[in-house]
This record gives sequence, C-alpha cells and structure tokens, in this order.
Amino acid sequence: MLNMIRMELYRMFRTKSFYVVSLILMASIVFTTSLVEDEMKSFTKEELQEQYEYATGQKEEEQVNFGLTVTTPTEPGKDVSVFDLFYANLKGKFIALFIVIFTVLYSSADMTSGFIKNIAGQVRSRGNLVVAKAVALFVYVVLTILFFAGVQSVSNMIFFDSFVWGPWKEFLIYGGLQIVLHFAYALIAMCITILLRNNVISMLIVVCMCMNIAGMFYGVVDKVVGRFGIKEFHAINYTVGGKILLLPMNATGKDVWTCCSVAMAFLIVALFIGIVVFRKRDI
Amino acid sequence: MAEYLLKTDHLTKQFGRRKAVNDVSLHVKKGAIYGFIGRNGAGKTTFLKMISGLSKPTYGDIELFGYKNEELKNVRSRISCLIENPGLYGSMSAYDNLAIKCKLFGMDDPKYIEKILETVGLSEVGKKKTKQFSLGMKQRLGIGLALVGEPDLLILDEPINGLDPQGIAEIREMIVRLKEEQNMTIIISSHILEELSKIATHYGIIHEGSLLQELTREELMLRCSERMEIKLDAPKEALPILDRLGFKNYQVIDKHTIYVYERLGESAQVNMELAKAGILVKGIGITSEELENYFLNLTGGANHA
Repeated sequence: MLNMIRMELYRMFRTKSFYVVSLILMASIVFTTSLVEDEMKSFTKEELQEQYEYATGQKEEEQVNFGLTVTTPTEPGKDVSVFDLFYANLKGKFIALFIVIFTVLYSSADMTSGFIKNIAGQVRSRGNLVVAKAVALFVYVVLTILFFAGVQSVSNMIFFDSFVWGPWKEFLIYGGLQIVLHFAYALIAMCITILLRNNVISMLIVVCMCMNIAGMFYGVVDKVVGRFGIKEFHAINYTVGGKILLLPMNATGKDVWTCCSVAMAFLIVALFIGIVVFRKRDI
Repeated sequence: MAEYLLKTDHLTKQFGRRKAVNDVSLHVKKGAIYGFIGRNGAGKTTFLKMISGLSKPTYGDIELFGYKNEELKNVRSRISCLIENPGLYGSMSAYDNLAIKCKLFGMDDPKYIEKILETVGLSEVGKKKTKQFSLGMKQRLGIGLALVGEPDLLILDEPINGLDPQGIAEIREMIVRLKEEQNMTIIISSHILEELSKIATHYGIIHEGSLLQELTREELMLRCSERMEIKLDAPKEALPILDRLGFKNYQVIDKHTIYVYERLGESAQVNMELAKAGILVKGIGITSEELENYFLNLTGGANHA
C-alpha cells in the first residue's frame, strides 16, 4: 500500500497538469486580487455594506446564482485581510474549480494513457490503487490550499496599502475545514471520472458542480420534501458543495461537526464506489 | 511445482451473447516461449487479459504457478504483460515511466531503471518524451515496463504489430535473450505465424474464440515439412502395406489421407504395392506446406483473413 502511495505521489509530481493548473491558479488569484482592490476603491459605502452582508450570509440572495462569484467579506472602512480573500475564493468555489479540474486529469491519466494495464494485473487488490490515488489527492488538496494561501498573502502585499492576516484562530479552523470539504469534493470528482471513464463528460460535470448548477436539483428536492410537511429542509445543507458555500468565517463547534460529518459521508461513499467499480470492471 | 506454469480450464469470456473466448484449455510449460496465434478478433487479447488479471473470466479456471481462484492474487506480481499498445505517459521520459512502476515494486535504485533501459536498448534516449518515440521504441519501453519486478511469466500481446522488419528483428532478439538470460516463460501472441516460428517453442492456435490446436515446434515443423501425401478411401487398410515396406515415419491425418515423411522418392513403388493389395489410391504426390498456409488452412482459408 505504501509503495502504491509513493507511486501515485511520484506520478502526481511528474504530471505536467499539476504545474500548469497551479500556475493558472496563481495567475488567477493575482488577477482577482487586483480586481478586488479596484472594487474596494470604486464602491460606495452602501455597496460595500451590501457586499459585506451577502458575503457573510447576513443577507440572503433572492435568486440562485449560477457561475463563480467571489464576494469580499470586508466590513466597510476596514482593511482587506488575507483571510477575507481566502474565505471569498474558497466560498465561491474558485479554488474547488482548479482542484476538480486537476482531479479529473490526474484520475483519468492512467486509464487514458493505458498505463493502468502495466500495473493493475500485478497488484494484490486493485481497489488499493484507488485508495492510493485518494491519498495522493489529499496531499494535492492540502498543498493547493497552502499554495493558494501563500499566493493570496503575496497578492495582498502587492495590491493593498496595509497587510492584514485576519484572525489566526478562525483562519486556521476555516482553512482546515475547507481542506476536508475540498478533499471530499475531489473524491467525488475522482469517483465520477472512474465511473464514466470519459474525460470530457467528467470535466463538464465537475465544472457544473462548481458553478452551482446542482442548485436547481436541490430546489426540486426541497419542494418534494416540503410536500411531506417538512418545510425547513434545505438539501444544500447536506452536500459538500453546500457546506463549502455556507461555512462561516467564525465556525462554531456545530459547524465543525456538521462539515466533518457531511464531508466524511460523501468521502466514504465516493471512495467505496470508486473501489468497487475499479475492482469489478475489466481494464 | 506443477508440470505447467500456466493452465486454463474451459476458460470462457462472454460479452452479451457473444463468446470472445470459448472454452479454452491451454497449457504452458515453464521456460517455454509460447506462440499464441490467431487472426485479428480471434480472442487472443481477451484471453491474455484474463491471464494477466485485467479481465475476469465469465467462467472457467486459471491455474498459475500451481495457484487457482482466490489464491491467484499471491502470484499476480510474478506475471507481467504488454497488452495491445504500450501504455505510456506521453509527456514523461522513458526513465520516469519506468520509475513510476518501480515505485510500485519498492525499487528506488536508479541503476535498476538504467539496467532495464539498457536491456531494451533505450539507454541513450535521455529526457526525450515518450510521445516523441517511434512505435518500435514505444514497444521496447512497453516490454521494459513489463520487465520491472523480474516476472516469471511475461505476456506480450502482438508486440511486433506495426513494426518495420528491423523493429521486428530487434524485438525477436530481445525476447530470445530474455528467455536465455533470465529463464523467463513468455507467451507471445501474433497473427503472423512465420514470425512466431522463429522463436516459439510451443504453439496454441485460436480461432473465433476456440483453441484449435496446441503443438510443439517439432510437431508444427513436421506438419509443414516435405512429405508424401496419399489420398485413399481406407487408410487403415493401407497401414500394414506401409509397415511391410519398412516405413516407420508416417501419420494418418484423416479418413482419406496419410502423410509419409521418409523415402519420398519411392512414391511410385508405394502406389504399386497399394494397388497390388487392392487398395484404390486416389492420389499420391510429394507436397509441403508453408507455415502461413498451414495456419490459414486450419482457420478456414485465406479468404477469411
């Protein structure tokens, strides 16, 4: 098992897409930070207040927005901290988008290249190859979020007059929870890729996941559940994508518990499906 | 240790209603180079995938190194394969492709990878990406990947497909070298019997999913060698006459044919003696068969190729 993990990590660090995706992520963060700096200067106090309320969930949007939205949660009159933009980009699934794109490329590379034929017959359990891939993806998610935090810090230094980290404790708890949620998201993407064995369709699905297209489906589920008399049910609260979106900056003990539970549930199901399919299917 | 390194028992693979491999019972001895011959679509790749553990049989058993069923996973690491095209990461070098597989086997020594590159004649390629390799180089790297972990059984599916004559010769030499130096048992499939005949010690001929024949190199050569072919209605009645004439090396092929492999210049005398005994000879002559024709005749003629 350890050898499989070493093999997957070696492969991951030798994959061109690992560096290409990271470079594009870096460029995008620098670019969005420059846009935020423009916004903060050009917005009126009312607009900044409204943006703050939307970003922190104090005010709910009347309609479901499709696509990526990065809304800064900085209180009017205060400096934009690294944590503010770290929160905004993770909540907007901007980082998740890069993570799932890489996951699809990485998870399918051994199948599309045919390399899997060189190894799948020689291992005691094919399912372990999926587990090793999941471990490599965990390392990738941790590295990507750390890399993102680093790039965001540098971008803040470049574009804003004063450099502010934000509250350390909340920052660490929020970052840790988002790592767990993004890892679960990556495993869902890996599971889809293994199931479909088609790069284009898998990519399309995972990008749609990040663009909140599933919101339409959640709306239907809520209505159906509502007909059974449960009025306050919101399916989005029980999904990984929903948790990424709704996790507050100052997470409470309950937030930690629900995030970890939802992430673990999806993580285990995705991994289980991936292992079973990969073991049963002919290569 | 079992007599056979690999034995399959009524191995079958069914896709929907079609049986790609049908009831194949095949036997491979240790140290053999087993030529697995069949036309395109005969079921070679499907069969080899089952042996390699890449595909599950619909029914039937595989016995490898004396292990069967669930126990097979204990010996999976001793089998290696190159099935269809070599599976390579195009944006990586030959070294990196090998290094990935070496990690799986816990082999970190760069010298080991260099040794494999040398074995397959790719020690000079440096950091060139494999997508820039020629087909022959890719095939050799595919074999190199199969050699990682020093398998006891090497399965090569159409390794000479699409190669130029020089490429074919290089692969052939490499296979012979592997058998001689590392005492590997090798199964090599092809639809070109002529090429296999230069290296294989045993043969299995598969057609439309069924194994038609298993024979040794000697048996195949005998069947294709120059011979006296006697066509008649009752071969059994002719055998005492052949014995009386002192013939020892002959074979009854079917209900109308006897092959005699010695004293080929005496066909007139044989004809006369059989006639004297009241046996009607419909035809007698000297004939031989090209390997390729032997295969084509066995699998239904050239028009089906």
